[in-house]
Amino acid sequence: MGLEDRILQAIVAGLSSGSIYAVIGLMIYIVYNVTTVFDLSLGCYVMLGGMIAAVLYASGLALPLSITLAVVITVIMGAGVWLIFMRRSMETAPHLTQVLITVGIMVMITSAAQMVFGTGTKMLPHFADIAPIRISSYAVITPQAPWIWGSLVLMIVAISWLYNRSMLGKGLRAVRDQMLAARLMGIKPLNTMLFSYALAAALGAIIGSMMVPMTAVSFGISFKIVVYGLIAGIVGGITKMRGIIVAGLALGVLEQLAAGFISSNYAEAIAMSVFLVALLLRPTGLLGAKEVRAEAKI
Amino acid sequence: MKAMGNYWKWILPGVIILFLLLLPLWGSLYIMSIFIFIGLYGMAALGVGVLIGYAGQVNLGPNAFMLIGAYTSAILAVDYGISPWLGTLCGAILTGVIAYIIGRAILRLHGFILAVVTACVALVSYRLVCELEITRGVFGITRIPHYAIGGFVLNQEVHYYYLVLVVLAILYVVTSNLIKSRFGRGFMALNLFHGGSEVASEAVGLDVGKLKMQAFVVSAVYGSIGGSIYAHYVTCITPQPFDLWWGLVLMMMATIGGMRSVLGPLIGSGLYFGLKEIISLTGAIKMAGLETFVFGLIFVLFLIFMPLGVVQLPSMVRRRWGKKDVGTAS
Repeated sequence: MGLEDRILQAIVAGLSSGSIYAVIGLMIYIVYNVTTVFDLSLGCYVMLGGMIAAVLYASGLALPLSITLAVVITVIMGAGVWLIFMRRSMETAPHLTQVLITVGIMVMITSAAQMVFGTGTKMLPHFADIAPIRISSYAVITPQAPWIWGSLVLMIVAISWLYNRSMLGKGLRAVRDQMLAARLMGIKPLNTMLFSYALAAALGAIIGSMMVPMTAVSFGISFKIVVYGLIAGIVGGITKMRGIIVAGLALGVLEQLAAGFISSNYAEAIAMSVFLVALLLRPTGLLGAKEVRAEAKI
Repeated sequence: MKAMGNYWKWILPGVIILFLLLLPLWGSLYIMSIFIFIGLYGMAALGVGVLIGYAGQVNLGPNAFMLIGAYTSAILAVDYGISPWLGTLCGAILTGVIAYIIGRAILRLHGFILAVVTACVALVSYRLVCELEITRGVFGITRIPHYAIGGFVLNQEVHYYYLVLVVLAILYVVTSNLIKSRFGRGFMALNLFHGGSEVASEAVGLDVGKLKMQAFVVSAVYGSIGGSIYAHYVTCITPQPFDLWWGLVLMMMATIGGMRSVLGPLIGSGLYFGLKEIISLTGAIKMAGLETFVFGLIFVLFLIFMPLGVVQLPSMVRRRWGKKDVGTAS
């Protein structure tokens, strides 16, 4: 068990949790890019996706079916929440109010989950019934990791295509850059916002159900997980998708390195502190230095 | 009508103050302890209110300041035998310094960064308190001494009730004066709910970053004082009452009561604990999370329909009545 082995193991394990942070960063990016609001309620959809998938599976449904249903239900809930609580304020209310509303929604969804699902953690079995893959004498890839990595890659490809190639993505970008002009061109800003929110909820539900076999899920993770996503988002530069993904993965790897070499009890605190320092030194993000003014609204 | 308004302006606060002063005469220990908690969390909420309502900055982890205040004071008193009064002061200074360092680095920038950084600080400090040796981990610190004046130990509910009342009164006066001072008018200019703007404030020569930082340090110190008194009141603290949820609850308290008022956060704190007691009294509903759900719902509804909080209610009512008067006159 050499030093390289331990570093390798930390990187392999860190890339799994880092992928989760990266996806949450992506969700925040998707919503931010239309509304310029940092949406804190998005963490809930990761939790909801995992929770619902676990509950459906426990009630006897097949695994693929329960995951699909979980994603569908989560998206419907996300769209419903957006229509009920956010629609009225998204165009006119002050920016600060919009951010606070997302905090309130996070509190509501989390408390509702606590009432409905209870305080216990929920589990799912590994998706593929395979043995952990050994890549050296010490480092192993857990059976769930390829699923998480795969979904991150697929999401990146799909979202890049959506934003850069499709007409819909152009509409989304237009609303971010100039809402009034976009409206004059026949784009309905509220529809694009609803679409982005539902899309983010879908990504959250997918990664939520993917991560359950690895980390288990309980109602209380939503806030913590969205903070991780926000850190990845801001350190990476919120308008740069590449930066967010790199920052999310780095956060995960850093956490595992801290756990492997210092102490697993302090891993979270150490990783957070390093990113905090990075944020304090370069508050505009590692890649997003030119984009500060985009946030000037709050 | 105007005379009537003035009349109410003095009567209502008078009645409330008298009620609060005389409460221990008839209130049970239980009632008093609820009021003490309202006051303690109200202090922290007041800090959040100053920051969010006047400087337009979101603090997602105000619980961190309560936590640091509580643990500083408790550790100093238990391990080093330092007087709780001095410990409270040390806690306030420490949180002030931490807030200053954070604020110095980021408050000159626009944006959402403060919210993320404060949430981050709250996460880290909570984890550290759960793991560190000196804080006794999740089991917490027990046998924290009470405050004492000379030989007189404050060890009863009544004592703490009046202590909290006095501290709150001081904070109230300080905050009101702060808001009316030059800093306060600067805050007003920053405020984003009433057409204030950072750019315009900068243009007329206000140091926006400095103003925000002052609000941030003040809010941190308020939270710390609340936390310290909490520690000496309950005499044993665990990390749990300062976890991330409390940070969000504090922020909701400040917003529901009214961000642009000094009284608002205290009303918000009262509403939360009132709601909690009502839900636990009805007893039939033993659902954990119900009170935060209801509180979150109220919070969102307030933001949508009445963004300035409960304190906006009188002026809204007056406006409606006023309109009616004009209508009947013509």
